[in-house]
Amino acid sequence: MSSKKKSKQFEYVKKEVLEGKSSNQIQKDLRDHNMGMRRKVLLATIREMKGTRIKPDRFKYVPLKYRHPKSGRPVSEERLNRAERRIQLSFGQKQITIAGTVNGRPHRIQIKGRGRDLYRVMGEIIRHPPKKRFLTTTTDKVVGELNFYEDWDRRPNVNS
Amino acid sequence: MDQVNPKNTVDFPPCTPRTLVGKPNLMFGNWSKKMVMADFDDTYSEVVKYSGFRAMNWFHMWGFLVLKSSERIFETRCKGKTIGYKVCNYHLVFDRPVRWEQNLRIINWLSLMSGNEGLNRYVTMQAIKGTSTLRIGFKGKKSPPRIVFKYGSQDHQIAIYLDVRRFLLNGIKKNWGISDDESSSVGDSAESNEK
Repeated sequence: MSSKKKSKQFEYVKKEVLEGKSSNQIQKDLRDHNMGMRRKVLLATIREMKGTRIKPDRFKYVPLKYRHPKSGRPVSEERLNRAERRIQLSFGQKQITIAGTVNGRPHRIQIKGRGRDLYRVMGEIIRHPPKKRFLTTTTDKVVGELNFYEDWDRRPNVNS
Repeated sequence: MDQVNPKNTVDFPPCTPRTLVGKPNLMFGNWSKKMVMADFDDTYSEVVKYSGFRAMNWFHMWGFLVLKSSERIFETRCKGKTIGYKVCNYHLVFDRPVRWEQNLRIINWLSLMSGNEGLNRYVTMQAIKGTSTLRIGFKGKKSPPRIVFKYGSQDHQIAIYLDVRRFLLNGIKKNWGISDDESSSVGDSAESNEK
């Protein structure tokens, strides 16, 4: 880039900064006059003209999912704990009840386990009721406590 | 006041879907001893919100979630005219984890304060059972409860509740309980009708 064009650019930027325009607006105007700048350079020039410094905690305002793990200051403990808790929840234990009737008598199972194990076991539980009427178990033991000679009562075959 | 997050809401048709007809008539739910849950029958949303706020302030419950489970229309006769009015059933879930004794204390306080008959019955049933449960899936023609209102912190027990809810509703969407026997039986009945 020629030095003439550079000086023109800086003059233009200075004029617009004095008017109080934002960096995006300035960039748009520069592009209209075929004098677009690299954003990093533009921001540095604006900072020089205004006499401001880079905000020290600017990475704090970037959402966790968009942030590069090695960039900026470390995240506060509270925020990290919250994020970890959310991750733990997705892999944590779930407590599920399944209630239905067998020959008109109510039966209920209460199961505790991880989501993956629950998905595996659920196919069996939905077909067959438990031997006991009211049962609370974990996913490891539940299959041994099902009554494979009986079925749950079905939904009525009526479409409303 | 927080707004309802659309990510946590799952849309279902108002009546039981066709895919579930002829399948095992089961009811899915969430059970726990730590989570404080309440079931209000035949009330208005204002009553549930008011009792939620009062319980939250009295027991320091951090936050709560209100779900609407179903509607009911009553008809009365007044001077020869029939007047109908609508009441709804609501579920209330609190965010702070508590011990079972404290949980019972809070639910009983709520039932006394609100004077709701349905909640009174619910509390006695939970005390007999030893755990508190709430419905998440279908119940006959009733569709799954949907989120109506939330206030305060939602990161602890409510997050767990929503996690289980998403797990179960996704499972129901994928048609749990479809075995080879069932699919064959449905096919047979269709053929017999055609003949």
